Amino acid sequence: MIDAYFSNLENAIKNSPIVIRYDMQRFLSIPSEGYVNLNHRQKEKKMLKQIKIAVIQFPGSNCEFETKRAVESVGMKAQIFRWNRKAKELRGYDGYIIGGGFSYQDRVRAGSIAAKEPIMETIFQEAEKGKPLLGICNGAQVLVETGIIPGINPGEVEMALAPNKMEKEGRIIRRDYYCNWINLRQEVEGRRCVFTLLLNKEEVLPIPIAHGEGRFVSRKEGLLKRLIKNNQIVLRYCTSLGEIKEEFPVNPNGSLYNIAGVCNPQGNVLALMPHPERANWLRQVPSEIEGEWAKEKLRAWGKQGLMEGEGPGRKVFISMKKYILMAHSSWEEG
Amino acid sequence: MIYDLDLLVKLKIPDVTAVTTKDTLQRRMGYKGVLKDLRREDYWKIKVEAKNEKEARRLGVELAEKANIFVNPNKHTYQLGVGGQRTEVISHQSSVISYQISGRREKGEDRRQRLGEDKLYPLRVLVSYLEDGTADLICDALKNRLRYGKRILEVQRGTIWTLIIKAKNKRVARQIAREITLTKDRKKGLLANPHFQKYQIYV
Repeated sequence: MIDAYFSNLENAIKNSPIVIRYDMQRFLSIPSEGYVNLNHRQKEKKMLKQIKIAVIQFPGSNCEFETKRAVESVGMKAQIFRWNRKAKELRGYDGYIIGGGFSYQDRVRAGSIAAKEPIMETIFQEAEKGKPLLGICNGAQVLVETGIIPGINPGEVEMALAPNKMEKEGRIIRRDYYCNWINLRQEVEGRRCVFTLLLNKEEVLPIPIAHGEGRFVSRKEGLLKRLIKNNQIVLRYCTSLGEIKEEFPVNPNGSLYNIAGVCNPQGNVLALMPHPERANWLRQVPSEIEGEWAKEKLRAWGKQGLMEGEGPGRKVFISMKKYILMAHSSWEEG
Repeated sequence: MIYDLDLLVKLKIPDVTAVTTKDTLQRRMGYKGVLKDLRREDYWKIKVEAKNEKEARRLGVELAEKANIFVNPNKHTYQLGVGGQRTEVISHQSSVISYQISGRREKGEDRRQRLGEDKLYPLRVLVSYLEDGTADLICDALKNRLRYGKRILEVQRGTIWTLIIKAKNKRVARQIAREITLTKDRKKGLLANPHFQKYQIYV
């Protein structure tokens, strides 16, 4: 496992467009066998103690504690950061997650009121410095309403997350709120985005969704072409075998181009509609779904240790950790 | 004959959405001195077929009071307008603007004349969806499940935001309303996201 992580990271560092401060030469000197040198492991432990992730809580958020547990499960410290604290206090954190829920009861439009909060200005500035920022479900809606995503013209609202529209065989068969397990396909090289560093291209992950407004739309001419060209469409809805089909239920909300997750041009911000924190542990995966993860769940049945092991969503948080560790390494010696 | 029924549904309990929206515009987006008040109503435009205007109005009242879709009498009041072949979006009278000072109610017109300051303009912004599946579903439910059949031709819905804006003239007030409505970036606009919503402003 660790070999694979370092192998992916090595490639990530060589080719990443991400603007972070780290010492590439020093990092590449770490043996690819993994933690052969205990000093490196101790060093990482020491660094992990210093890493703090802010999990933003707005009135109406309801996934912040689950998200906090998911972040802590990979060894990082997470703190719930209330929306009405002083915005400048956010600057001391190494990464940010805006979790799911119904911020401000979705008044006016999902994410629109939270997008105007003062802390979003600070988060925007910190993200511009290269710090990782993940928006999950309602968090993704906030990022889109703030203009952080897709970020072609940073700050400009270039997309929307519209009410779901499920089409099949040319007919609209369903609308609005839908919750189920769906499959995501990694669309680009994992290194393209901070939160998918450890994913291989075309890798399929089963992750649950639960939303009424998850349909990525845009009236900006040429935006979709630009996103594809920039490799900003990181994750798309697919079948368990990784096939892209535009119809429901493979595309669960009618999203443009089956988009499930979009990153900014720098790759350190991701707006993701599915909930990775709800697939963080293997025990969370339903054994009834199709694919390898369900089979792994069945193999682990009755073995608590295995059930508490890694689920499909955990790679998102581990990727975030690896990215921050790389940045911290350079800051310590830089 | 085809008639357009304009149904405006307003909460008679406190409208927390309007309160939050006004608070966000005033405190977070810098419209404190400009936006004096904000109210919200649900707007339904129902195209019906009826023999005459009287029957159209009767059908409108029945849809409002009996269909249990548009109005919940426990928390809503409503106003109904019937347009002819030419549709009027707003068909009821604007209320008088009143502005309370030191506990004494003073009509807006009198206050403006007394102080010689910028005027208060009520503007209505209708925000609706570019593609509205919920309205289609409701139309279908009225036609089939509630058996109104061919009498119901179309249903459209939107939200009407009434903005009381302090400005030098109508043109400036309209410009401010447009800024408040059209979401361009994180600092500008709130009421409508142009990527899936449209809006119209009425002074």
